[in-house]
Formats: sequence, structure tokens, C-alpha cells
Amino acid sequence: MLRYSAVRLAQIVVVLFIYTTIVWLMFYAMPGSVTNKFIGNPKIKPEAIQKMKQLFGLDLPWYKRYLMDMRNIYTGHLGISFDYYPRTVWSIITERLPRTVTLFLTIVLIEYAIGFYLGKLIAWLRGGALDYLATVSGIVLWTMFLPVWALFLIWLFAYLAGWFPLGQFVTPLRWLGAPHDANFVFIRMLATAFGGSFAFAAGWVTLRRFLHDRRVRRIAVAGLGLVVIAAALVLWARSGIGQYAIDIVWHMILPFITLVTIGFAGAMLVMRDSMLDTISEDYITTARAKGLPEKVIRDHHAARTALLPLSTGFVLAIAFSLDGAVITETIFSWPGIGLTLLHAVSTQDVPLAVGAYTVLGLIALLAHYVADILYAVLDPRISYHRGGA
Amino acid sequence: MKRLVLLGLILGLIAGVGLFGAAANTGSKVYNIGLLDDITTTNMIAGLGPDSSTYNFTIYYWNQTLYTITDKTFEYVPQLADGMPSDMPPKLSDQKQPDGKPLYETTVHLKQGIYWSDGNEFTADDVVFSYNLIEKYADVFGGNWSGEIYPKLFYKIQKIDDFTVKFYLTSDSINFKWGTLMMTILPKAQWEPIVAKAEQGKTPGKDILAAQIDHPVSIGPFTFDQWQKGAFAVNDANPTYYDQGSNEAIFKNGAVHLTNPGTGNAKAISYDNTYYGTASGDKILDMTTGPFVDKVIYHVYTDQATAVLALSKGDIDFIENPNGLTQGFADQLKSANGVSLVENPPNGWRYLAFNLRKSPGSYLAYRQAVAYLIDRDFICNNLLQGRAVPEYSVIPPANSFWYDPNVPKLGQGMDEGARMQKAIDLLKAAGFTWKQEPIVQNGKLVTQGKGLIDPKGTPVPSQTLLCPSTAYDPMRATFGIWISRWMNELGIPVNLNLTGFNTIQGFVFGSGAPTYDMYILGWGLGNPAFPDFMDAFFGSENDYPAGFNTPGFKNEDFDNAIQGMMASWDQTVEQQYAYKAQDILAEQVPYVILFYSPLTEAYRSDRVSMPYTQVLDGLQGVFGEQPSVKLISAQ
Repeated sequence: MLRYSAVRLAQIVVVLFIYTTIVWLMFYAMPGSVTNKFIGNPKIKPEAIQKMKQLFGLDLPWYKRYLMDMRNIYTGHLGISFDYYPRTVWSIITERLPRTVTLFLTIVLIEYAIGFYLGKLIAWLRGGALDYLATVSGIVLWTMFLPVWALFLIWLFAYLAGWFPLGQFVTPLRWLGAPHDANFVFIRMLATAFGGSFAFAAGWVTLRRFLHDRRVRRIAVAGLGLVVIAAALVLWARSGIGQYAIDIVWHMILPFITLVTIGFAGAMLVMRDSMLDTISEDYITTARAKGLPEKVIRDHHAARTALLPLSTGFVLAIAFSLDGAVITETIFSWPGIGLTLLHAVSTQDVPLAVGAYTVLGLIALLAHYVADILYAVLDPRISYHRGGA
Repeated sequence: MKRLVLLGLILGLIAGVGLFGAAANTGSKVYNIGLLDDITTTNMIAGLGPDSSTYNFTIYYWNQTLYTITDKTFEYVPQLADGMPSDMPPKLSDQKQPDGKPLYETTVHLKQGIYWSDGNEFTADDVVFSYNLIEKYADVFGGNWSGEIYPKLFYKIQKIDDFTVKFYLTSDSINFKWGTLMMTILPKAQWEPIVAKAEQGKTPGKDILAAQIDHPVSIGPFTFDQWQKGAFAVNDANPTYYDQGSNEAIFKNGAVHLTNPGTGNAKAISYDNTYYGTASGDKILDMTTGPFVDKVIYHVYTDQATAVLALSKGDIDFIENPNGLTQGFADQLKSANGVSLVENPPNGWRYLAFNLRKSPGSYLAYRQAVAYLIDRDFICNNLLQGRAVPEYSVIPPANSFWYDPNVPKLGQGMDEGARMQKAIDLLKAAGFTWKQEPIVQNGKLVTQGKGLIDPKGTPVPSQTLLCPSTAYDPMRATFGIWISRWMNELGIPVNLNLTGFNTIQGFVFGSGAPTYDMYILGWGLGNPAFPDFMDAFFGSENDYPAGFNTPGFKNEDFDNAIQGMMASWDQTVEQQYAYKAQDILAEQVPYVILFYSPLTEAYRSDRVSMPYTQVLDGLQGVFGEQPSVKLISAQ
């Protein structure tokens, strides 16, 4: 496994370099430049525009620009943005990333949770009304054109009903005079989510190890969950910024509903198909023959095995969600990484575009790597040793 | 049961969040403006330089200039200056440049009793500091700064006393009036330490651009309050704004009467000045300056559909959109209660450009023939359903002072047959021939032309017409399609290339002299008060890449007219030269001006009252009239 990991990591480095070069070449080949925005002003002479090109290094030969940009990317700050000169690309990405991670990580988690639950249920009850209803509605929603669906939900729930905001991620009137910026709150929300998840996972593993009675363990785990949630709520209530977090959560609800309703079907159908394969296995028949309850067979025997393909997709979905879904961010005025990329491409802010794509590419490559390792960890039949299965 | 309980908990949580999330009323008088993109920085030097953005200008109500232009009529008036410069045009100075070339000078007096928002008094030190700083780093700051300071014109500035400065210039060019004297003045107290620190480093210009300005000092009607990046920004009313309570009255006879009783606030100053005639008779505008709101909140909506819904719902009062509303959104807002739509002409137009550096574009008859072929009325009124308005002159008709109502309008009112016949006659008179000559009979083209041959006997090669694609701009694409069709019917081989905007810009504004045949693009014309863009676009000395004269137009009569306009400091004389210049352009047609798209905008007339709504370039051109808008109901 160690040898395999080392080889994969080396491959990642090579692939990342090739990928970055291809992305750079694509942007280099685009006509025009970031200085095009000044061409519309007759007072700014071509001479002045030429000087700006020199400032940005756009007058250099292509190979010098390539070496300069690659050096900037691989020495950490990813280069200096043209549009936000002279801010570094890294500072812009770290400013936007928490917004994207908070929203889209939540969406992916819930999408897959719903997909997993529904998928195992409808596979178990295959051929029934629930199977039919869930599959048809899932496919209908899956094929919905996202901008139309999003605008419809905004019109219905935000404009007509007034239950949710029309867009943005904060309510300006509530944030007037706020002591911190939104990123401060986003980062703490993420920290709470990760910290709470880690605490719960650690507690669950411990309880599993020491409590053997299933019923007692279930109660203990539920209690642990309540304690973790209560602790988080108390921390936030005492933090002085709780109301800002609630405001952000309120703004997340509508994009969350929009994307989850469209996206859950993918996970659901993968889980359903995987479950159908699994429940035809002999060991499921054996479990039934042993008299185990149907729920236990479904959840502890079949679903656990059927989860494997879904877990791979889950890891990759998390990685790809970080590109922010440009359409969602645009419609809901949620300026995260997706909109940053769109803006960078439209204005030909090459360092920002190439730097952002490099970060996303790296995340995608690492996600593939994690998925491969995870598969081997989850399924003992899989081995990356030479001569293994 | 468990699932029902869980579902109930989730719905309860959402409801709880929703109830809490609904915003409270602050009780303040708030003007809400929707922006379609975020501002880029609160560092004004960067924000007017490389980080320039339309939305920066919308929020930068912290700065002022020595001179500015009036509302609606764009007359040149003092702002921070007290009266006009002592010598207009600047007079020959006793001092000379090191190489013996002459210098010109003029003195500007400053208004007294004006204070920055940090409590420091506005003095000549701020003016001298600003000009010296921008002049020193103009190459690095770039952006709009180079069009304000004019580095080749500005020589130096001298402080005479606390409220008097003297400018020294390399020539008496009128760019001094319309550029240099309209440069943003920066607060010395805030910027001097930043500059001093930056100059200790290796890249001072870059470090100045990178400076974090959390609280920009203001001399304007608003001070900066807050910026939640990606979401919103807030300006507060400036309680020490010197010009609060001032009145701007513009008369039909051209006179401008600016007054301030000095009672707007504790720091308001008093003055009573009249320019350009006697303040009597009918008024075009009578407006008092506030601000009359406590705050302006700039909401960032990255999607126009959402911004329109926000306006319709009442979350915002106005959308700052340089392109105006599309027809669909305008129709949607027509039925919205409390929303008023306004339509204004933009300060710009769309055009077809020739390349006069090579045949056939070098032949006047060819260009005029093409100009006659283009039936603007048909395209604008029939095909585009009135969403475009035909235009013939480089000066928009709405810019009434500079627009010559008698400008030649080639082809206006002619039917298709007459146009085609006129084009044929022009080409034949110039010596053009065809392999197959087009024939017009009874007002109809009965035989299409083929194979146009220029007067030298060279077949005209296929002409590529670069045009924005339908996805980018369906109006220009429609014009491109019909122009190429008519030209092909005339026998001019044209290949229409509907392509990306950036592709056209890259081709036309690339390095070296342009090699295109024809293209269709558009221009925003900048300062409506003085049409110096004619020099930028068509002056011989501005032949691209030296300037923006992409067609390579070189006409002595035009150069004389435009130089006369640029050299004269008498508006009546300038006007006559401007008339002549635009008439020459309409006849010589280096550009065929095609159309403009009226700017349709909307605002909540049940909440806000604008002092005026009809103005060249629309409400977006005056950024929603923030210093003068009044709220009808408190929010």
C-alpha cells in the first residue's frame, strides 16, 4: 500500500504539471487581454494600455511568461491577479473558498445522505410504489434545467412567499456594523462542522468499542449526537456572532433546496443499483436463513457493501463541488470560486484563472487518490500489492 | 414515527432560521442600489487604475475634483476650485523647460473652509500632493489616471499659498481643461504616510496600489462605512460635506447659477456664482444637493434576473447597469407596482469601420456607396422592433450643444432601389467596374452585381466583415448580416465573420497597423461635455497604434477643424469646429455610424424621488443620483 501511495503521489505531481501547462496554453491562446476593458475609454491612449501590458508582463515572449507564471504557481502564491492588482491569486482564492466550501460541501453531504437512504430503501422495496415514485421523481428532477429550476424556486419562495432571501449570502441590514467580515463567520462554521463531526466520530468509535449491547449503544450514540449539537449551539450562542451564522444559514436554504432536489437522484440511483447487485448475493440469503431481521440485513449486511461505489462517487463529488457550480453561484449571487473563475476567464485575468484551475485540479487529483485508498480500506478484497486482486 | 419527528424537527429548524433571518428595519433613511458585480477595492488609486470597474465609480463618492460638469447639460464649472482658472487658455510662462521649449501657466484658487472627513482642512497641499503623486507614478497606476493627468501635458504644479496653486504645462492644449483639471484630488494626510512607506521599498508604485485602505477619507457627500466582500458595501452620509444644501440652477439661456447658503451643516460653506450668462428666464434644472439619505447600501447581485426581482419586490430601489435592461426585464417591470421605467439615449453608438490603408476602403466612393446601402430604418424599426435607433452622426443627437442637426445623413429616407442605384452611380463615377454590373429597374435590383473591380483594374478581394456574434449582441449581428447581404448584392464580395468580441478587439487593437477589412463594434464616448473623442478616433496623429484611429483616416480639413476645436477655449468657436468636424466625418465615412440602443432603466418611484430622469447616458451615467435623491418613504 505504501509503495502504491508513493507511486500515485508521484503521478499526481506529473499530471498536475501537464494539466497546468495545458490550462496555461489555453488561456494564452485566447484573443485579447485583460487591458481590453480600457479600450472602451478614448482618453486612455494605446500607449498607456501598452504600459499596462508591460506592468502585467503581457509584452514578454510566451516562453518567458510561461516560466514566470509556472514559478509563481509552484512557489505558493499562485501569481498576482491582473484584475485585482496587485493582490495575489492565493489571497483571492482563500477569500472565496470558505463561501463555496460551506455551501457546496453541505449540499453534497445531504445529497449523498438522502441518496444513500432512499437508494437502499427503494432497492429493498423494489417494484413497489415507493420505488416507482422515487425513481420517476428523481429522474424528472435530475433532468431539470438548473437555471429554470433555481429561478422558479426563487420566484416562488423568495419573491412570492417571501420566506427566503432572493440571493446573496448575507442580509445587508443585519450585517451593518458587524464586527467581523463574513469569511470570519464562514470559517468558524466550517470549523464547528469539522470539529463536531470529528468529536462525534471519535465518540462513536469509542462507544462501539466499549458498549456491546446494541440498544444501549444506539441510545448512547444518540445522546452523544445531542451533546455535540448542544455544545456547538452553546458555543455559538456565547460567541457574539451567532446571529450572523444564522443569517448565512438562512441564505443557504434556497440554493440548498435547489441543488439537493436536482442532485439526490444521482446518488439514489447508484445506491439502488449497487444494492440490487448486493442483495442477490449468497450471504444475504444466508443472513435471511439465519433469521436476522430484514432491517438488520438491509442496513448492516447489504447496504454496507453496496455503499462502496457510492463512497467513491462521494469523494469525487466533494472535490468537484469546490469548483462552485458557476450557474448556482451566479443565480444566487453567491460569489465563490465558481464566479471567481467565470470572472477571471471573462476578463482574461490569466494568473487568477490559471491559479484557481490549478488549485481545483490539485484537489481533484487528490480526491481521486483518496478515493482509491478509501476503496482499499473499505473493501478488504481489494489490494494494491503486486499480484493482489 | 421517528422519521416524522425528524422531518418535523428539520422543518421547524428551517422556519426558526427563517423567522430570525428576516431583516429588521434600521429606522434610517436608506437608498438601496443593486450592483451586478462587486467593487474591486476601496483603495481609490487602484480602483481608478488597474482595478478599475464601473461599480467602483458608483461607490466612490468620497472624492472630488477641482472642476466638474453640471448635471444634464454638462457645463464646465468649479467644484473644489473657487472660480475659473486665471488664464483660460493658459498663458505663456516666463519659465521654460530645460531644453528651452516654452511652458504655459495658469493659476487656480481653491474654495476655503472645506474639510475632509478626518477633520483636516482641504488646502493647496492636497492638490499639489495629488498631482505630483499621480504624475510620478502614472505609468504604474495606469488605468483612468493616464487619461486624467496627461503626463505629456502636465509639467509641474506649484503652491502659491494655502489656497492657490499654479499649473505649468507644456502646451495650452484643451486637454488641460477637460482632463488635468478634472483629476481626482486625494487627501494628503491619509496618503502621504502610505506613499512614504512605499517609497522605502523596491516597488513603490505597486506597494501604493496594494495599500489596504479600510477607511478612505472623504471630501464628498458620502463616507465609506463598510464592505462585505461579495455581498454589499455601505456609504454613510458625510455630516461635514461642504456642499450640502447647495443649489444648481441651469437656465435655458445657458446660464448656470450655483449657490450655497452655508446652512447645510456646520461645515457647509457659502457662495453664489453665475457662469455663462445671466441667471434669468426658464430653467432646465433646479436641484438641491443633499445627501438626503443617511445611507446608501450597494447590494451585489451577480444575476440580472435576481436583481430585477429584488427591484420588483422592493429590496432595492435602483439597479446600476451600464447596459440597461433587456426588453424582457423591462416588460416584466412594467407590471410591477411602484416601479417606473425610464428610457434615455446612451452616450455611445455602434459603428462599421473601414480600413483606409488599403483598397477598396481607401476609396471614398466605396465607403459612401456602402453607407448608402445601409437601410438603418428598416433594420432598427422593422427587424429590431424599435429596440435600436438609427444614428448618422458621431455626436449623439441627445448631446444637443455639440450635435449638428444639419449633419449629412447618407441614405436616409431612400428606398432600397434608390440606395442601390446611388451606390452604383458613386462607384461608376469613381471608376469602379464589375464583371457583372448590378442593374436596378423600377426601383428594384433585377441583376445582382458580381466581381467588383477597383479603378486600378484590380478585382476587389473578398472583404471580411468582423462582427460580434448573435450570442454577444444580436443587434450588431443583425446589422452585420444585412450589410454583408446588401454589399454582396452590389457585387462586393463580403465574408461575414460572426465571432467573439475579444477576437475582434484582439484583431483590431493588436500590435502594429491594423490589417482588417471591416468590422462592427461600439464606443462609449466618455465626457459628453467636450467631444475630444473625435480627435482620438479620427485625428491623423492618432493613427493606430499611436491612438485609436483604427481606420487610418487622414484628412487635412478634418485635422484643421479638430485642432481648431481643441485649441479654442471659446465654446461658441468650439461648437462651430465640432459641427464642421462631424460633417466631414459623415461625408468621408471612415466609420458608418449605425445605431444606438436606448438605455431602459427602472427605479422604485414609490420610494425614491430623482431630481431628473431624462439625461444623456441615463440614470446609470449619474450612478442613481445619490447626492440628490430623496426618499419618499423611510425604510
